[in-house]
Amino acid sequence: MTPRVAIVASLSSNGEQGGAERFFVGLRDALLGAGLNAEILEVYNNESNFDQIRKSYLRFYDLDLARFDGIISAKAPSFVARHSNHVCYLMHTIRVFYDMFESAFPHPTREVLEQRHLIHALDTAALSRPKRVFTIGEEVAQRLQNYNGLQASVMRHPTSLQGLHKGAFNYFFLPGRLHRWKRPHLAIEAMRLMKAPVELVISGTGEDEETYRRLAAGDERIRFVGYVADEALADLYAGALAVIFTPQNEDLGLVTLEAFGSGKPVITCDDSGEPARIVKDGRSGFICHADPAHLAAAMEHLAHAPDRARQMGQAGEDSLVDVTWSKVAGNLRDALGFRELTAR
Amino acid sequence: MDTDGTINTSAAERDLDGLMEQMRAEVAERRQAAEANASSEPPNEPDKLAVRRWTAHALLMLPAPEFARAVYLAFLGREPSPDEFVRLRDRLLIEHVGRMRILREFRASPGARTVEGFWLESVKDRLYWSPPAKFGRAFIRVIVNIYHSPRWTREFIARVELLERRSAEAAAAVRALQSGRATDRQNMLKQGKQLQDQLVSTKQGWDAALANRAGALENRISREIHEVSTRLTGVRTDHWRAIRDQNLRVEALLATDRPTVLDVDGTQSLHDREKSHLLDALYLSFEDRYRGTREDIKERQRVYLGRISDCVAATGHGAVIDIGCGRGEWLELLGETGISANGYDLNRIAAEECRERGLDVTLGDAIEALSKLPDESCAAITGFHIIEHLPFEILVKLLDQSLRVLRPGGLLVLETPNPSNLVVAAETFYFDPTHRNPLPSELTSYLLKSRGFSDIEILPLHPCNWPQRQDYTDPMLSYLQDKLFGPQDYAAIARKSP
Repeated sequence: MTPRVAIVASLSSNGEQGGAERFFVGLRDALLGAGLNAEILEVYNNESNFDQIRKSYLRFYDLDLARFDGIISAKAPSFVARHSNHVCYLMHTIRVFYDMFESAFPHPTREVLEQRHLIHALDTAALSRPKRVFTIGEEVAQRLQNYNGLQASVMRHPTSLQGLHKGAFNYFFLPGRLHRWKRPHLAIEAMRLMKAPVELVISGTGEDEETYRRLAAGDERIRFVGYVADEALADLYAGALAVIFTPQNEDLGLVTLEAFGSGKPVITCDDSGEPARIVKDGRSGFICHADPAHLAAAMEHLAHAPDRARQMGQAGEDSLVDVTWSKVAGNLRDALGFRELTAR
Repeated sequence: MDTDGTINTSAAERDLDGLMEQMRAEVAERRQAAEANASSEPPNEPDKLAVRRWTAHALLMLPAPEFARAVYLAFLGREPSPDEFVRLRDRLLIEHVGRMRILREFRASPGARTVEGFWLESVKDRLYWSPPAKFGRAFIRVIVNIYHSPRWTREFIARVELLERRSAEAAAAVRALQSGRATDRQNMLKQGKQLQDQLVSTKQGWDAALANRAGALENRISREIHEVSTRLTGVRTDHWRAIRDQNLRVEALLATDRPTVLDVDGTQSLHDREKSHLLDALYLSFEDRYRGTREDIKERQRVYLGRISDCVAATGHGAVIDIGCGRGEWLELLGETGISANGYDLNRIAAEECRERGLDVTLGDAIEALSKLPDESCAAITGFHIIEHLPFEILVKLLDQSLRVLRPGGLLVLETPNPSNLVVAAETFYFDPTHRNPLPSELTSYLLKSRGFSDIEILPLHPCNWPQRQDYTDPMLSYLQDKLFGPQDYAAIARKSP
């Protein structure tokens, strides 16, 4: 009898189709491949205000999961779900109460501080329960250590974006959500300092899109292509000279993996979190200070040396050989204790 | 992280279930409160500006739009017309007319009401703007500025220093990248040099390969030309023989008395005689193909020359007879060495060819010829690849007749395929369809001895040209190598005792 495993997924309230949904599908397919009868259990999650957050925690806590032989939780607050055979593959907790607290609440009220205290206590208690906690990156593991005092193993997963391939080295590519946490303004401002007639292509949409369009106005080298489908996204990666990815404390940053998968170097920042750990400065990309001038120097350098970009992209691709879904699924399956069952 | 984020690790807080239940209670409480709130509708807000009794102080505190409306209500007891409202608001916001001045204007307008506290505010305003008060304020400002200036200066300097440090860092980063670029250029130059070297060596390699190829082609062409010419010669010879054969048959027909249809016997004897020669041309062509070229054979037969010339010298005189002389290579070799010899062969065309070469060859049966020769009349008798064609009685008869006609000390040399070589015994012996039995050297040697010859020597000849030959220590391998690739022929050399 194949073990039945639930991937407890939180269905985000704004219905945004982001990286997380792709992650769940990729994880399910990998677990199916590893011989488990895995299914995605979508549960509604709302983080729009604290009352809703409270209700969401209760919703996951109250789930009846007895029909499953094991569960895998990933995103806050799915890890409060109760099951005796529970493994957590942690994507992130509610970040506004963790590393983004200072920027979200510059002048926190007493109420907000109490809320944060509660969330930390809940997360710490909940994440002490699973048989094993993995995180998608070093950044998340560090955060778990610093804020919750918990240990976790790091296990990166590959991108689920299909059809990555290699192409020419033409333009700088900046994919992803246009949100202040991703800091696309660094690259836009860097373009002003650059003389090379090279394009900066920006894909994606987001709540701060207008701000960035205004910021880039007047520089005809900067091109916004808006939302692009997967296939077009892979093509955009393939034609890039280098990929620019300068978020703040990013958890994993599939952009880095996708760029490497397309043989492109990545320019990132020393405070970008996981990307700064994946990219090797000067070998598979550049790690700059979060400063347009530094970024511009790196970009100018690559704009004049596409061969260097090719070598760096190759080095990046080579560094990813170990990151596979089957490895992820194998580790999760072993942690759930199904190794012997499926080996037969 | 800051101290607010530290975890309280008390047992109660570690208890997820307790925390969740606490939260459940809070959610329920909030829901009840929200429901209670929703049931009591708040009453409509009255227009605060209209109902209020204004004091001058309160009017002065209002924001501009409210002030514009409230002034009309307070002094004139009515709402301003839209034009009046806009005009007054613009005076406040755009022309920056002082509020106290507007209050005075309204107070002075006809029919204006008294507003509580107007005089007090008016006096306060005049005092505030009086020269001594203005001077006092300016003086205090200067004192305050002087008090703050050291800190401002420090902050300014710190800010300048920070900027300088940032720009120095940026410059360092740019320098680092530039030096990186210089290293890149050097690497590229090095790579370019390597590529050039590779190209040069590749070209040299190609040149050598082309030269080799050309050499190989030349060799192949000359080899093929040689093969073609050899084949052409062979074809020409075959044709020549066929014509010769036909000639001989026609001559034979003409030489006989014209047989009539009734002369059955004459026709029959001619028929029998010709029948024995029907395959002569075929056999000779066969020998051309399988025995080897004339030069090869002469080279191989050179091994006997020493023995024969010694023997001729020792016996004083007497002929050398070659039975089954075939194409006459041996006779030719003897002639070149100065030894006279004559040959016998049954093949009419072979005999004809030998005669054309000026060799002394008789067409006919050698044993019959030998039996007609007187005793002790020959120095040596040779037979190359003859005895394997003979029935046993004929072979014995040949040995006996040879012993009889040889002078004392004369030599009999018989060469034949060596069945000790398994390939010869199993395969190549049968290339010649006229061969009868392979003769092991022991049998030949025994026969010679038993018919009266002495000093019998077996000379192994013509080992295979086997390029992989080596000295095996394994006795089985060594034996097999000999059996497969050892001598393909042998000569039995026997002497008539002096």
